[in-house]
Amino acid sequence: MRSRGGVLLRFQGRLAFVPSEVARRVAALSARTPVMGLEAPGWGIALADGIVVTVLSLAGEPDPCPAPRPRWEPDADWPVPGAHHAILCDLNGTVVALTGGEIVATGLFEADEDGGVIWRDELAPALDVRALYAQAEAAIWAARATSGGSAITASEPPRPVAGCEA
Amino acid sequence: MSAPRRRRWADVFRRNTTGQLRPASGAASPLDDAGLWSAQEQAKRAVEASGALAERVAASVARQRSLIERSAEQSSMMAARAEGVGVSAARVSEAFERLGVVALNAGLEGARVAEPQGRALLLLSEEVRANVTRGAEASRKLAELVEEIAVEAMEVRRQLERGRAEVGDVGQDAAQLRAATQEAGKALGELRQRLRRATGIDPEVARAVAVAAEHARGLVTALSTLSAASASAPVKRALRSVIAPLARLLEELGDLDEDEELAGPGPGGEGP
Repeated sequence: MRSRGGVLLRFQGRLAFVPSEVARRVAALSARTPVMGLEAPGWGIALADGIVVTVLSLAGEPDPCPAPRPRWEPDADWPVPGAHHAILCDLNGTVVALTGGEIVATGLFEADEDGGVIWRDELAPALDVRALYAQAEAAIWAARATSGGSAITASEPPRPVAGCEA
Repeated sequence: MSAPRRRRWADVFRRNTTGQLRPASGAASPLDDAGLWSAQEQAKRAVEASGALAERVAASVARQRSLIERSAEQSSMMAARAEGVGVSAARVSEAFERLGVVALNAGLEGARVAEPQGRALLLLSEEVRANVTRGAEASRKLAELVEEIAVEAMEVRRQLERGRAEVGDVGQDAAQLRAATQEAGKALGELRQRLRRATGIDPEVARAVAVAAEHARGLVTALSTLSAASASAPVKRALRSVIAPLARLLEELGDLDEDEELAGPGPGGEGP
């Protein structure tokens, strides 16, 4: 049996797999700051382990105060403490934080032919974080092209989301 | 006792023993006066008992109030302690959260590192994650329990506050009852003085007359029974020796009565 290492997460009711080649570590984010002009899945920037990272959200607008632990549901595993934290991904030197999902497990999983993994008879397709990042970048360029190349300005400078630190 | 008054009481006694308890005119008899005095005495005793009870109720209410205040204070302390335990439980949850992240990262690192170190890391990660999950769940339940205790302690405090208010009302009622009893006592004292003026009788004498009348009634009943049963001569002789002094006493009272009637009321004499 071939196995693949990485992070298994669940978002919007389905499983996804982030391979260990991309996923570096699980970390809490602080000073989450939305950035004007970013399109989904891009959301903003934040601090993770002392460095500024780009935040990509899998569930649209990230919850500024995520529940410390998701509630337990019947026939489900007890959620792991810290499962709501972000996955820091290294995209050729650019560190990106992936949020909006609940981490189910980390480690080695049974590999699927299409690059995903199988978790308890359920297929978890691989999540292409590079493609997500590229999608967010492309959205910025598209917005600039529509606005005639002018810079997108905000009436107020962006501020970190107050109240919680994930 | 003055002569007219003695005469009056002798008349009362005589009429009482012969069954003529009330004058035909319906006016208050001296025996009624004695009854008034007796009722006044009873009322006085009842008021004194009520006063003592009111005092006891007031003391009991004060003790209850003190107990309730102590309990309310303790429930407040309990709520404060529960809050402190809640804060500690939150810190424990936070520690489990960090440990959970460590376990997740250990799993990720184990997947990245080659065998056999990777396998060891994975196993360690699994073990830590399982225990962290259990510990976090236990601490969550503990925090919920402590929160419930805090809420219940606050509810107990609220109920005790209500109880204190109720006890305060009872205390006020007891104080009013005590004041009313004291008023009643004063009123009875005044009534006693007025009775003394109105009846002209000393309460002690009135009591003695009431007792004598009661005994005389009993004696008449017993003698009537003996008369109906035609008692034997030895029994009558024995009784005569006992009753003779009483008869003489009654005779003397009767003579005195007649003498005074003949003489008429003196210049300093009191009216009946």
